[in-house]
Amino acid sequence: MPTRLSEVVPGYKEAVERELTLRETAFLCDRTVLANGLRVQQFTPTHMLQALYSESPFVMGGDVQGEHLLQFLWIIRETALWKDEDKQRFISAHLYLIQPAAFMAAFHAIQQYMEETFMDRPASAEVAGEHTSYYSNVAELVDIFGHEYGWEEQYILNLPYIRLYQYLRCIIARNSLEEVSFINRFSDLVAVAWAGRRDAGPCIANRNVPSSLQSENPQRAP
Amino acid sequence: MALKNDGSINYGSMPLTIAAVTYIAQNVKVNRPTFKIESRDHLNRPDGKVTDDDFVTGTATLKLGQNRVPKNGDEFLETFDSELGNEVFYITNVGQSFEQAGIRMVEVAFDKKYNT
Repeated sequence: MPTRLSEVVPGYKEAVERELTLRETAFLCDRTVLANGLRVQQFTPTHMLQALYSESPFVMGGDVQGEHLLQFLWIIRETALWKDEDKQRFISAHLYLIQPAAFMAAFHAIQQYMEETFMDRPASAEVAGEHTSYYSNVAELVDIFGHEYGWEEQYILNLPYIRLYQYLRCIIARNSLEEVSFINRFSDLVAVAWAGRRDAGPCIANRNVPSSLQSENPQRAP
Repeated sequence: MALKNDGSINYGSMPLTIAAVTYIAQNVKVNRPTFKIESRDHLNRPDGKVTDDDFVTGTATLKLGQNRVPKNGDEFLETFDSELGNEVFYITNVGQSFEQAGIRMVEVAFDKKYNT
């Protein structure tokens, strides 16, 4: 019978459990805790718009400086603790994060937060050439959820991405005539990496293919 | 759909080695249809029928990293049914590939090879 990935791929079962835990806990609370211990809100389209407007390298790419870190943490701050008028006090309270060790811890914590936020986003088609969009991703989300569930714009903009993307997968699966597959950000990465190592091992590669078959298709990725 | 998914494991995921490259295959479906030869009498009433195995086909979604996307004609050997044992298949269709965070996904169709 076919091999079960959970039995042969180290870390696969744990990665699947991590994905399930992240997906389920996202519905328990709008807040979360970064890996460095800071309490923040789950990332929403409104946060994305604010980060884009302030040209944050966490969403636009580029080098991250101390001020970018504080700026991003202010955007995703827990608003019950830090009101709009508390910005100066917030920055003072978090200035220690500019120190090298604390900075790196916070930087990696935000990277992990963003990876987890977007783990269920739809995969993009690999097409040749440059793709120019005709509307924003946020407009697309509002259109989809407004059309499917009748939700209001502001309600959608303030829902965490980690929940929106799960609903989006449900919508895609429900509307598809055939069973659809999605990329599971963490477990698939573990499995694909394991497959790559399996091919690289000279003793175990090709163990499932008779030599007569290998010779017909010798092409390998560079 | 799994009857019971004990341990919250993705159902239907398996490694598949195609043309010496290992892929992670999901939603693997193997179709084993039958064909019928029908016989009728002089009044067109059924009076006999033969049913036998037809060509075996299948589909799967492959996940891959930096490996090459499989091509039509690529062959693989797999035991989908322990009673039938090893069977050789070859790719007959490769769909649009999708990418997310360095993981690529492509849907393929395959046929069983009968003269191996």
